[in-house]
Amino acid sequence: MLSFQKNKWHKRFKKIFYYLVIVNLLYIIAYIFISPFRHHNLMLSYDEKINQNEHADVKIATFINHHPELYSDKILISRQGSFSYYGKKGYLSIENPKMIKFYESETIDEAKSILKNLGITHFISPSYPIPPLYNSFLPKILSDLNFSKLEKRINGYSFFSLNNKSYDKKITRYMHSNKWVSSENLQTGKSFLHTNISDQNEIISYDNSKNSNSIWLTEGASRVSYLFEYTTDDQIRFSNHDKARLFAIDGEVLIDGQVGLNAIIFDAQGKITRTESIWKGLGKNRLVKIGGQFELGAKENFKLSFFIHPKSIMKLVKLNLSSINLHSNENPTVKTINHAYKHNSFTLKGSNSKLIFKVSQNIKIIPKIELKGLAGYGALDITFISDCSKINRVTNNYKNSSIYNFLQNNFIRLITLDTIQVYYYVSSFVDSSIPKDKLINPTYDKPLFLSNGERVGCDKYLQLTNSNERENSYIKFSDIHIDGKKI
Amino acid sequence: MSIIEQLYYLLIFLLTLMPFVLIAQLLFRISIDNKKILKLSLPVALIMGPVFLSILLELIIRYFPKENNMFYLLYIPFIGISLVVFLLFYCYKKKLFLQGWQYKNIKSVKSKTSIKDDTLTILFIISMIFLFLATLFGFLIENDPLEYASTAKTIYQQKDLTHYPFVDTNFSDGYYGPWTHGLGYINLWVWSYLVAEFDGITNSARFISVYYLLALNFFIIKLSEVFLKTLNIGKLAAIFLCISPVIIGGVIGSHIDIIRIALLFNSLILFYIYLQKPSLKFLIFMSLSVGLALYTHSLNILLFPIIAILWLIHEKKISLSMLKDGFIFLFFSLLFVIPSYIINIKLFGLPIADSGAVPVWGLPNLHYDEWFFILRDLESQVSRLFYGVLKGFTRPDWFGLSYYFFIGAFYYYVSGILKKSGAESCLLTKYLLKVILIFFSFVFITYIFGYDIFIKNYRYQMTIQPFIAFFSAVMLYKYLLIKKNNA
Repeated sequence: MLSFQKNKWHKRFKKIFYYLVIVNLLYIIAYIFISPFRHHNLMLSYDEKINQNEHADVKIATFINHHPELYSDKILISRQGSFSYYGKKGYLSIENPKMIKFYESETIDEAKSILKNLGITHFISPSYPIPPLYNSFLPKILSDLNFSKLEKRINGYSFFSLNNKSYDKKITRYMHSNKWVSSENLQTGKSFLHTNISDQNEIISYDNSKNSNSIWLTEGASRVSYLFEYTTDDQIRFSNHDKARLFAIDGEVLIDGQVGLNAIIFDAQGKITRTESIWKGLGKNRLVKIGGQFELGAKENFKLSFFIHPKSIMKLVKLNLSSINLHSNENPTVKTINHAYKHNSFTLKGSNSKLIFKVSQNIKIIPKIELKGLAGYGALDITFISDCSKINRVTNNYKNSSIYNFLQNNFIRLITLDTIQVYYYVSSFVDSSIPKDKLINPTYDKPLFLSNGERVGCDKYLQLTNSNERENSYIKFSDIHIDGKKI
Repeated sequence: MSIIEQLYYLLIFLLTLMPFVLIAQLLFRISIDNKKILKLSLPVALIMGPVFLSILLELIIRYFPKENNMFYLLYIPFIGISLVVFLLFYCYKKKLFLQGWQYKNIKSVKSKTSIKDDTLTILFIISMIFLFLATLFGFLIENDPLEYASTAKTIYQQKDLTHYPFVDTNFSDGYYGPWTHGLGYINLWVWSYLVAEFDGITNSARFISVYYLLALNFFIIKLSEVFLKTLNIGKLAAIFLCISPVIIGGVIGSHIDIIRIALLFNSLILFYIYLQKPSLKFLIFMSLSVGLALYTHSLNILLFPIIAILWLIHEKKISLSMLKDGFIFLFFSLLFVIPSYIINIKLFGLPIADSGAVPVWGLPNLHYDEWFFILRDLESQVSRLFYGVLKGFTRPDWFGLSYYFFIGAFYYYVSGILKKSGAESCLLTKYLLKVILIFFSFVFITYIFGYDIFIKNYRYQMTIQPFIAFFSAVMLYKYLLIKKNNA
């Protein structure tokens, strides 16, 4: 064996070995480098990083922190770490032994009443499959529009409210199980339905007419997996054109492996605008339950698709859709950040607490801001934000720049951050224990909103920040007027 | 919290650890009188020191719960510094300082560094700097570290350990944390909250894993200086340790693993030193290190069978004195964990538990068993073998090329080259290999008997990563990096 070292092959191996170590080290450096730099601006403070990060679970937790008005009691959570650390609200982990009764319940009504008794009013489902989401009564509950409602979905994380009675219960039901097609013109592999289990007497049709490659590619799914799509007929697609709707899916599927269900959403022109991951499940040759919801905006339509993981097979057994119309004014107009809150009047408590108002009126020149019944102690910053991120960049010829642009002029400052413009407007010091009306009337003459702010479709916000360092300093006011009009 | 504030709190946090590092260093000094081995005192103390703080914090919170922050902030450093003064006085009395406390540099053979070496070293230093920056600019996002941080948050808010582990959520503000680990890591989080006067977010504790990786690298380098008389093998071993993405990813994500691994490595190296020259004092010190390892992570219970087997191989028989030493070892290593083991037995029925600690996972209708395996691609026996047992080779995205280097190293070992490289390095290398083989025999035996404990979680295999790295470095360095005439 020792003679082996002396030959040429050995020398060559030495070199290869050395470069392998180098390559591996370079990989590690790249690996480290991309990890924190992907999601946020480096120079943000730690708190801002949390507020602005892209991780769906933290985003949901901060969303809930900012909207204390949306829930009343406990939230059932499936990823405890991020919620318990970043969230500020009561919660119950899906793995908590208190939930055992729920998992062992025999009827859906029993399951619902157990949730009620535990004080659970909301639920957050994760972007990955978890057993209660396909093995318990949870999917049934999530597909019941009378009992649950999707509030928000971020990257596959869904926030549901349970037993919300405030909306219209005119549920439309659809039975379209026979509309499934399997796509055969995928570039890789063939797709087939698992047909050899004969005791399931439903559905399966092999119609390939409406499938197209573009859906497959836009989906971004792995090329070695299979895609089935559910084509909705014209009646569902184009009825109630001008109203947003909430769809619920209720079904059963036989799977061996891992499967996900997505909704592919199109705009009126037939362009794919987004894909929502509704449900994910897995099993070893077992029947599991499907349940979930997705929201469809006005003038949008959809297709459903199954995402089947490599080496997995499935057979759809049952799938029903139901929908309700959503009221247009469901979105709250006031956001609260940190310890700001709205209760009769508006209160900013502690440093960096913020109130964000959505402004509907047009503001082009310097507006006068009047705060009614202003009291408290601390510095108050008033900022206008113009958010154009919703506008389609291609059609509006939007310049994709990330240059920081500081225009210092008295108190006005402009920051351009890709599609968001922030205007630091004016600072004012509040020191009064008796509520007084205060008119803030800036004395400079720069126009407030520049080109982007005027763009049609940009959202405008007015942000009030308590910038006092003291933890328990508060600023209160009862109302806010811009140019004499209440927002 | 701005970057400057983060760095400030980190500095304070590290300074408060220093008395405990000194305690560990002085204990090491007292327990040994070999000048050469004494050179290891700093890295050993850096690894063991912080855990002493955790233990002291647990004791103080248990006996003086619900005091205000200042109480703990004053008493912990006070007791730490008093112990340092006491130990210094003891060492002074025993005239230990005169007997080679100051290290005289043993002349280490300094082989000339080549461009190849320098390239590797520079890349390694760059990766360590990046690692620090990535931790500084990143934030806590992975589930397990967030759960530790949340546990610490609960302890910090309650300042009471009566209900730890948090199984009954009525006493933990809703937080459910059913694990059996001691408070080794968690209490360092609690301490960082105390230092920074936790206001929802603190950053210093995220650096604990960076600290431990650097301490472990330092330990490995010192070890090679002491036993192999060259720094270069240590450097290469540190590089081999850091080329596994799973190690680096864990460190950036503030996972517990690098801490438990460092303590396990520390304990086994101390045991190696003990086997070379047994003494009662050093046996006790080594047992304390094992105790700290157990106190940090339940998986370190592996130390008992590994040490038992190594001991038997070394002694080749069971003698009465060995039984006596074994008893002393058991007593001192279990000293820190017996109270928590008693609590665990009351709560979970076992002193340590893995998934058995979560009753919901055991519900048959939820099928959590298949969930673990399908999500981790470990359904069939074949995939369990390839992606479970042999994951070091089949998952380079986790372990880098470290296992391939190990195979190369093993080839050279088998071909008998080791005998040329001096008795001492021969002994150490054989010892490292023994540990690796014992660990893998556990993996294989449990796999053959159908248990999944070692293959279920990829992090368990990281346990022996420092051994793999060190062994590969010893074997490969001389024969692949240095030119023939130097070797």
